[in-house]
Amino acid sequence: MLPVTSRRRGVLALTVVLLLLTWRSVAGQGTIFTIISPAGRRSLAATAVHGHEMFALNDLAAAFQLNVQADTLGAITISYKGKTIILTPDQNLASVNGRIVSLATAPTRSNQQWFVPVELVNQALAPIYGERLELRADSHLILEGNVTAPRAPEPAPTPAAPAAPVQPAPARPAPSQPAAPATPPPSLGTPQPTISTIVIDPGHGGSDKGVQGPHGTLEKDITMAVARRLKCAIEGRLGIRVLLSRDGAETLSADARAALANNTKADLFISLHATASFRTDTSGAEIFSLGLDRDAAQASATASSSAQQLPVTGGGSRQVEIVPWQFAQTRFVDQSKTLADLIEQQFKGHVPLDGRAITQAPLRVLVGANMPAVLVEMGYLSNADQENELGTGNFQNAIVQALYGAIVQFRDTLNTRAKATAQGGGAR
Amino acid sequence: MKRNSLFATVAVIIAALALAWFLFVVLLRQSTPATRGASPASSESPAAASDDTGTTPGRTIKIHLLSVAADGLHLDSVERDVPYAGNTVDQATAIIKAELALQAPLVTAIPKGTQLKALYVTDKGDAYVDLSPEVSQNHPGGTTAELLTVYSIVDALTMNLPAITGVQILVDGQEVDTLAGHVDLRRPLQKDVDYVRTAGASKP
Ligand SMILES: [Zn+2]
Repeated sequence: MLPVTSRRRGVLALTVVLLLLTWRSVAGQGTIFTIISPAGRRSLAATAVHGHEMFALNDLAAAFQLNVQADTLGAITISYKGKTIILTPDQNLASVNGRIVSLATAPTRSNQQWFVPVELVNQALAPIYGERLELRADSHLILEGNVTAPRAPEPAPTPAAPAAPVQPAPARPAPSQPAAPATPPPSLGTPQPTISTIVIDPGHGGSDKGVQGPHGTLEKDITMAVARRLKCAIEGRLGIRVLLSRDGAETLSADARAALANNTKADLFISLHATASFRTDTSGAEIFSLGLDRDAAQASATASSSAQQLPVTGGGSRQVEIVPWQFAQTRFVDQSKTLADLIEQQFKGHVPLDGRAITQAPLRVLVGANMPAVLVEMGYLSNADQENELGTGNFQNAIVQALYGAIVQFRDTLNTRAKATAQGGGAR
Repeated sequence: MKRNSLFATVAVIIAALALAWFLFVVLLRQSTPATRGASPASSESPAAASDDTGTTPGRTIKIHLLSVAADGLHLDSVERDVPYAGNTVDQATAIIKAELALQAPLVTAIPKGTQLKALYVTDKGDAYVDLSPEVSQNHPGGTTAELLTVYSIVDALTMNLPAITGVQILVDGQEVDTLAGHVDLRRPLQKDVDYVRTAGASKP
């Protein structure tokens, strides 16, 4: 047994060491990130807190000259050159210059210090930082400003579900699926319907009139008329719940439209529009799905989603997946393109298409949709003939019929894939 | 007893080493802000465009501007001479002014009355093109027309100036969601030559 006094002396000295090092553990539980900037390199230590890699907020603040203030209600305000991030302890949502962003994990307090997830650099700090800031978790690098660093062989971002074949061969499993087992699997009961809710978004509305045709037809009215017809057709014939993002005259933001689809756990989002050209004779429909450029694809690859247990009305709780809003659609880019292809096929021969027919583009309303989503430009209101056509019941019904057909085909594609997955041993 | 003092001594030595290392890191950090400060300053307050300065009188360069193709879905590239400028910001300014000034018989995707208010280029190669409110107010709307307006600006800069890799359009000095409700303008967009049909365009 050690004498108590000398043991106390040893403990005291060790405490000094621990205080100096804080969590900067030499025992190796932490990792060191290297910040590379045009001015040189510096280090920033991370440590595992509750199994997640985190930075001590004070270290992060020192490394990037951030101002950190905790208010009496417990919120932490991080500011940099007049822009702010507001964190709430044990909440994985942050307000980044007024926008709500979901964090990889909640800020947490440990050893009298606040810790924030390392991903905060990309999710919250980069948007307010003014110059480029990029954290590469796998190579433990933070790139600041105009620097380049060779990309370490990172694990590929979670691949989106393989694009379904446009015309699935009925008797065979999808090409990417393993071969079906020799004996049929036990019955899984009634299969879950793959599409149970669809949100139809009549473009524009309220004070936002959209395109105005030469005879005065308004895009917001055409989109509403077609949306109502489409809702009737789908609900009446398929028994799928259809919600319209607006009822009538309200002015909605793009995010409010996607939010309705996300909050109702819709399986499809279809935004209806009528378009315009700088040339009065351009005509035809065009179908859009989200396209990502190199920057957007990279940003979404570094964003991660997380599952959270949230209370629900009426008691109890349920598992809710939190996905960074600005990247919600990136996981569905392939499926959305498949849906767009199916709509194009259904339009052929029934609804004239313009010279491009199908395009992937950075469209605002699609970005936040957490499900397959397309935007359909039904025709050119800037073309007087098409303006007349778009106002007729016949033409609107042709559009509805074609969209209806595409939805049925898309549902069948999903069902085929789900069946193939189940037969392949229930992978995923 | 001896073992305990040894234990304490080792701990104190580690403490001293840690203190030295800590001071080293602190000093290093304090010495960096001065040099680091220069970099955000140069990227956040770059030279703003001025009206006629920055170009060399008499000397011109050939550039490709963009007008709306006959199909109304694509952009045609149009060759023009603009004054040569010695730096990216002034050259970009000259290009955008020339793009906004394209006239009939060409059809352009720039709404009537649109003026260039300012233009900035960051160290990263992102250009911020601040346009007057007419670009939004006088826009005919529709995804197709909006894409052509946006890529007239984005591609005019990225096709002609390799130093510019991204372009964000601002309206009246403000970041905007879209011009007419469709194309996401909240971040710099990269060159997309799928909208451009004629020579002068090549995939990056
Ligand atoms: Zn529209």
